[in-house]
Amino acid sequence: MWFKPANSMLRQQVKRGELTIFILAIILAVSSVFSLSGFGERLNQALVQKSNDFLAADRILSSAHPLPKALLQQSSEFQLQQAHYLSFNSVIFSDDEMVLTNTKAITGPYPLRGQLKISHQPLTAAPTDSQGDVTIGPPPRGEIWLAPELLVKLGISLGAKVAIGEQDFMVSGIITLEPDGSFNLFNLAPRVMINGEDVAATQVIQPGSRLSYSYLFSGEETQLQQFHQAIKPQLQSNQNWQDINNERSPIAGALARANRFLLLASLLGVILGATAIFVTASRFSQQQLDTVALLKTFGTNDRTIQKIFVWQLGTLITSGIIAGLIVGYGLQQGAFALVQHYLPDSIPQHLPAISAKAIIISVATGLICAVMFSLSPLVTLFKVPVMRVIKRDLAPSQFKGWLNGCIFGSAIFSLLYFYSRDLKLSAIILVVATLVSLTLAAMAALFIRLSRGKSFSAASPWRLAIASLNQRAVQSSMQIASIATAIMLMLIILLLRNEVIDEWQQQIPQGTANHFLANVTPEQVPEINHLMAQHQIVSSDLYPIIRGRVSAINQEKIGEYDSEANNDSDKKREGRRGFGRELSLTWRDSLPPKNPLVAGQWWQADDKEHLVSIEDGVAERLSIKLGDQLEILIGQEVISARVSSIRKVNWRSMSPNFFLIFNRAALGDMPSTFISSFYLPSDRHPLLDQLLRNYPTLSIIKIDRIIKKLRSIIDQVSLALTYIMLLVICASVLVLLVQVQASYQQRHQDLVILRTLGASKKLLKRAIAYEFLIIGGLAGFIATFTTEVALWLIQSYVIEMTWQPHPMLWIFATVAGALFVSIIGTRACKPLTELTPNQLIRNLS
Amino acid sequence: MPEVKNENIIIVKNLIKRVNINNGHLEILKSISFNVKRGETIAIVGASGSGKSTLLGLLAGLDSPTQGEIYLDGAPLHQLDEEQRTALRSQKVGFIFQSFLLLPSLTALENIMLPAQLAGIDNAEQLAQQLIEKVGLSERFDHYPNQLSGGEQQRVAIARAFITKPKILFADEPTGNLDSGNGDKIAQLMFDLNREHHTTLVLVTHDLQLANHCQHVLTMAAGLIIEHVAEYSDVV
Repeated sequence: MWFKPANSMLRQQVKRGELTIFILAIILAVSSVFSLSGFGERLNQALVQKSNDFLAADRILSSAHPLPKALLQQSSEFQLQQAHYLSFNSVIFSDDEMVLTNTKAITGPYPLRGQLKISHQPLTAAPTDSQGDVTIGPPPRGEIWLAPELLVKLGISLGAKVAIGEQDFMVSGIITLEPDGSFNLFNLAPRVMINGEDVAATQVIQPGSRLSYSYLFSGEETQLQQFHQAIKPQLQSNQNWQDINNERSPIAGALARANRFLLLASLLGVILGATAIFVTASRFSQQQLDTVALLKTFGTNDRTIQKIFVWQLGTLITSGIIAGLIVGYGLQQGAFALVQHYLPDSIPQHLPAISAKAIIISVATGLICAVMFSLSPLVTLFKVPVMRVIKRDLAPSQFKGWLNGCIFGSAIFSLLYFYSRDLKLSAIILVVATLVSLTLAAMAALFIRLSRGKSFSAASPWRLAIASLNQRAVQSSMQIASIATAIMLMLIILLLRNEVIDEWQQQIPQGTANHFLANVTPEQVPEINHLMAQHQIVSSDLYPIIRGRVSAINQEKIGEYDSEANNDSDKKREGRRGFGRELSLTWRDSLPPKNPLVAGQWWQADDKEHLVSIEDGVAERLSIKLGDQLEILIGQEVISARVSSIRKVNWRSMSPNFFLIFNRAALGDMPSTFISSFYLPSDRHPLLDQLLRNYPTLSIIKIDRIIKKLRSIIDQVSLALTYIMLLVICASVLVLLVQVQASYQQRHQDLVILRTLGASKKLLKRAIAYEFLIIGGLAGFIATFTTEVALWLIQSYVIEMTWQPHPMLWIFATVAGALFVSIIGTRACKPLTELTPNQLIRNLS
Repeated sequence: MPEVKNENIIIVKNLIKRVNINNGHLEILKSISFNVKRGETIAIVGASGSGKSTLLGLLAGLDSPTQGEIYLDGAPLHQLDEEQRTALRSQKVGFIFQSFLLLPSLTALENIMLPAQLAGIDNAEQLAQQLIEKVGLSERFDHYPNQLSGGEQQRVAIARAFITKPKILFADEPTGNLDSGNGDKIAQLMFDLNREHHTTLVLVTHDLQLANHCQHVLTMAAGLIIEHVAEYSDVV
């Protein structure tokens, strides 16, 4: 009985194009979530995999002892690939020379991720990493691969014989690229690789030797996690499960931010879609008021009316969601095709079957948006009084403002939480959204009060524009609010994108140090400084390195914290554990760059008291305060120093960083070697060989690969952000169109009157343009304010960056907002201004 | 002023209006001709769909004819483009609508001022104040349309129509939305002001009683004038 009229009514509305934007809004929300969940996930996978190259695996289990066989066998149950290596320091002998090296004894298909390159020919020229063959697995038994500098230091070439312990090896390859090449500044011995089965024959492994076993795993993410869960109970405290994210590396930091950022950006897109849905749903119900009143007059009961409209909305939402999924799939395909050459080979080149998870998330987004946001307009619609058929201006009692706000707020919050699973992030966005609405309400009220008293002259398009805004004060402020939201979201994404990328690039600007120089003796310092100056190489200062361990804090022995009998809280014990190990210490007269003090003061160079500056993270973990006394054991000597300052350290910067820096009085007399970092373009790499020949004891660590990789991550994230920017811009345009459409009826009537009374087309077009200029400008201005607040919150609490004000933004956003809105608004109103007065009158009636 | 009376302010010759509908077209006006002399009042009556509102739209320059000629105070409306017709309206024409059509964003006084401002008249506010007093709403000058009753809104519309001292006033069912008591008062007000300002009035209505207040009554049916009753014998 109700179905036929409901259907035909719906068909008429669809035909007239009244619901196009409603469906478009649902399509946008669903397709953006769907395409992002596929595209973003894939991009993220690519990022993680690229980064995993640095581990040479997806996960590493590191241990001081060999793992039980049973535990390793479990990995095959989870279909994981596995390889392992043992690393230890040992001395390598040639006929004339001996050098301390770091030996990697490999078993299995190492590396599981990334590339190992071995050259079996003498190297021709720099850069070295373009030479050699990609290799998997250890050298054959009895053979050895060496780092290039070792050939120089030992004065040998390929084919020569060298010895480690009791075993002789034939040099069969030069390591030109090692995926997990040591980035540990303080493990400076050059790399050597042998077959794991040759270790026993060397007889260098004795009780008490410092050994490190690394077990490499790769495979499906879920299986890796399941494997970890399975073995977790059996792991000892000295066994460490690592993935790239818990590495203290620039890559891990970049990755974590990129992830959060992608998530945030896509969330904002969804909110915009939801706003569009809310406005169109309100408009839909507004348009149906007469129909409902009429149906009630005919004696149709409430249940039937509800059925009619719920069915209509249901049909719209369902078709919107289905269309959204199709569009989203297309977008995902398109985006993937565009970026395919950026992705590593290990990512499958075809899209996998659509995952159920992505579909569920997208459909749920569409449903939450559509259902929650059309709820209050729909309920309002059902309450329309029958008397409206007689008195047209009778409107149903509206939802209370706060109730509407609550529904809107909880819907947004559930969407945010549902999508991010991050309470803090969701709360921040919600707070900002509330702030925006409150600010806007206040601004709108102020605006209305300011403009009402002014004398009116219709001859000026400005006055007409202001009057028109005034007339629709509530609508206007809503319009400003949602446009401001759109602008704000665009600004946040744009600025964050730029700032995230900027900060990364600042970390690795052109000319960032790409080499570390270590093992410099005090006598070599002036010569090396001279050489650097001569070749115009930009380098950091040379830092003295002294190895030592903290033995006591305020006379409390650190070692005691590791004893089982200790009654201290677990937390304290946990914090202090490990700090008793040997650390690299340094001393300086001046505060190093990018090490801002958070407490205390830096010393004078001639201070006689022993002083130390400590990194803030360690200070917090060990509850060390200013004035505390640290005892340091260096060799046999004990040095005591007072904590005089606490510093922040940017561990991601490509320069030498230290937990503890002492003053000259404390460590100045200690024997030390020096380290430094410097930048050398790849075409000048031969200089390195010269350096090594002149100073064979020097160690040089190359980090250009890390920098290159960081850059490629930045490129990929920028790409993803550009994609999301496009989605957000689409959503903003949609919101604007929705708003303009919502004011169409009223505008129409105004135009009829003004045209009939002799207002010229030019005047009216200008008035419309000015009205949108005002709306856009005001929205842009307010958006800047809220953007600054939001950025401050996000940068301070979510992605941990320093916030800075953007003074130019106020002007830029206001002007850009005004232009953007007026162009779209006038364009959308064009059909109205083009009509003749008679057509206008006819359309109106 | 007999010579003034004899001058035709509206001349309509063989006016035809066709509109395209679906696959064919519909002739709404079929060769209409008549003249109206300056200062006269003329009512156009007829059933719904007879073409009277279309005729009013054409006479007021709101739309352009398919064929034929219209001269409004000597200006050939049929040759003017839309902007020229708009300019002409702001100088010479006033309007009163059945649905009042006040701008909801403006107060009563501002609504009255609006056409004067559009026409570039300097003392718009002063004129508007005089008129609002004449229509008896001086106490409610700062009220918005939604704060006024139907009758009051139409008074504002009438005051607005006279502010530019138009030569011709077009009224489309001015009492159509009002009860009979209010309708009579509004009609009275309109005719009084019309006389006072020596305006030519063209009135479209269903209401024969209202039509009979006019000097001429044109009756329309199916796009043609089927009857022309004139109070004076010298009307063609």
